[in-house]
Amino acid sequence: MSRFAQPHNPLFKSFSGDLTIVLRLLYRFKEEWDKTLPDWHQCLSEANVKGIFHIQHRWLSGLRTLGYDSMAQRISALQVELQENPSDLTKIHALKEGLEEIQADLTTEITALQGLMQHPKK
Amino acid sequence: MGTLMNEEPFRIFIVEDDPWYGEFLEASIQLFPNVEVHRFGKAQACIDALGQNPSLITLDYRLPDMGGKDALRFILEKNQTAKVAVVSAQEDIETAVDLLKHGAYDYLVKNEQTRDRLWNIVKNLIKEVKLEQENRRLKEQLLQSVQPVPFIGNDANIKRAKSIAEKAAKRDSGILICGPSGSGKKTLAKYIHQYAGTATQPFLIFSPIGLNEEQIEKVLFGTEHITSLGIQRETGLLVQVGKGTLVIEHFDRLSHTILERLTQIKRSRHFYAKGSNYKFEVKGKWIFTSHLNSDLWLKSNPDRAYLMFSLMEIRIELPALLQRKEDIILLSNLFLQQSATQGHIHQPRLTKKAIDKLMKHTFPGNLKELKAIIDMAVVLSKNQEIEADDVVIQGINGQERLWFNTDKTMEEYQNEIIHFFLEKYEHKVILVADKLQISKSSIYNMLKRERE
Repeated sequence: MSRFAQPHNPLFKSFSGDLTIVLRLLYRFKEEWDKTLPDWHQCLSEANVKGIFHIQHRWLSGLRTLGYDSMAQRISALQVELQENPSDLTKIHALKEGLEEIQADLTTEITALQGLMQHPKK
Repeated sequence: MGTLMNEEPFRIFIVEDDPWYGEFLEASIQLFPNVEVHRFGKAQACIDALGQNPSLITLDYRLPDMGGKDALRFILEKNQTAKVAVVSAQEDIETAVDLLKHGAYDYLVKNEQTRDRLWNIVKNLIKEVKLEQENRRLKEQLLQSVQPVPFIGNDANIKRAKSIAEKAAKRDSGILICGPSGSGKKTLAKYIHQYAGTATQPFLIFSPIGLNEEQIEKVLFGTEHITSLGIQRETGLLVQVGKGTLVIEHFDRLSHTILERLTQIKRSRHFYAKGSNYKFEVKGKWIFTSHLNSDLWLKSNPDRAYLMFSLMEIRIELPALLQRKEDIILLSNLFLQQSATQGHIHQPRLTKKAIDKLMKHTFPGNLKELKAIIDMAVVLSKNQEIEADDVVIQGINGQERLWFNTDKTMEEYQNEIIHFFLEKYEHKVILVADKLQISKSSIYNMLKRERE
C-alpha cells in the first residue's frame, strides 16, 4: 500500500483523500525529478555551483511538501554551506545515493498508487 | 465553507517559476468553489495581467525576471486592492518582516504546512471579498432607492439657479439659497446634495426658529460635560452630518457670534466643542437658506456683509411661482405624478378648465401651495380627470377671485371685488353693500355701467 494513500499522510489529507490529485502531483514531481537529476549530475561534474544551487532550491519545496523531510533538511543545510564555501562540493557528492533512493521511492509509490486506483478494494 | 454562487469568481494569481509547485498550489486552491486560478511563470506576466483584478496573488520570492521585493512593489503600485502572499522556500524571519512591512499580506514557507496556511488565507479572503461585494451591492441598492429629487422648470431664472447649483455642488463653497416661502429652497438643497454625489450621506436640516443662542450653539456645535462617569460628549450637527449636507434655514436669524464662529470653522475645517480640547473635523457641505433677498439683507446688515461673503460664496435666488407661471403646468404634472405614485393609483390628468383655474391663481404659498392643491385634487377627482371643481384654492371652491394676476385699473379691481361678494352672498345687494361698507347705489351704478 502506498504511503501517500494513508490517512495521516499530509498530501492525502490536503486533498481530502482524492487519490487522483495525489497521484498527479506525485507523477509530476517524478517527471521534474527525472528531468533535473541528470542536470544536477552534469552541474556537479562541471563544479557549476550556481546550477547546483538552483536545482536543489527547486527540489526543496517539493521534497518538503511530499514529506521527504530528512532529504529536504540535508539539502537545506547544504545550500547554506554552498553559499558560504562554494568550492567544497564533497558533501554534495554524498547526496547522490540519497537522491537516487528518492527517485526509486517515487517510482514505487506511483506504481502502488496506480494499482490502488485500478483496484481500490485491495 | 460557503460558496460564492451567483457572485463574481474569486480570482487568484499564482506566480511561481517551479511548474510542480505551481501545480501543487493550483490543485490546493481549486478545491474551493467558484475560484478562478491563473498561473504565471514570471513576475512581469502577472504585472501585465493585473487589470483582471485578482483578489489574491501568491508570489514566489525567487523569480527568474525579478526579486520578490521588487515584484511586490510593482504589483502594489499597479493594484492596491490585491492581497499578495509571498511564498518562499527559505524560512527567513528578517525577509518575512521586511516584506510584510512593504505591504505583503502574508509570508508562507514552502513546506508541508503551506497548503493549510494558504487555505486559511483564501478562506478568510473569500469571506472578506464576499462582505465587500455585499457592501457594494447594498450601497448600489441604497443609491437606487434614493429617488433623485426633481428640480425642474422652463423659467429662465430657474434654469440659471439650477445651472449655478450644479456647479456649486462640485465645489467646496458655502451656498446661500434665497427665495420666498415655499419656492423650493429645500428641494434645491437636496438636489445639490444628490448632484454632489453624496446621496448616501446624511442630509440634515437645521432651523434656528424658536431656539435661543445657547440652544443653537448646542445643536450646531455639540457639548461636552465632565460627569462622575467621565467625559460626556454630544456631537452637534456640524459633526453628525459627516460628509453629507447641512441645511441651515433662516440664516438671517443667526447671531453675529454664531455666524463669526461658522466662518472660522469653515476656514479651518475643524473646531473645539465648548469647554473641550477635543478637535472635531468638519467635512460636510453647508447650505444656508433665507426667505429674504440677499441684497436686501446686505443693505440692512452692512456690518455683517463680510460674514455672508465668507460663509456663502455662491448665492442662488429662487423666484416666486407667480413669477414663473409658465412652469405651473409642468410642476402640476410632476406633483400629479408624485401624488399618484404615493397613492398607488393611475395618474389623472388636468382638464382645460382645471388648468385655467390654476393659471389664474397667484400662489402666495408658491410650490408648497401648488403641491397641496394637486394632492387635494387627486383625492377629490372621481375618475381619471381632474375637473375645475377638484381644484380647491384657498378652501373657497369656485368663489375665489384672482386679483393680481393681470394688470388692471383701480376701477376694474373695485368691480371685481364687488362681483366676488355678489356671488358669495347670492346677489343680495344690500348685504354686500353692508359687508363692503359702501352705498348700495355704488353697486347699482357699477352694474349699470357694465350693462352700458
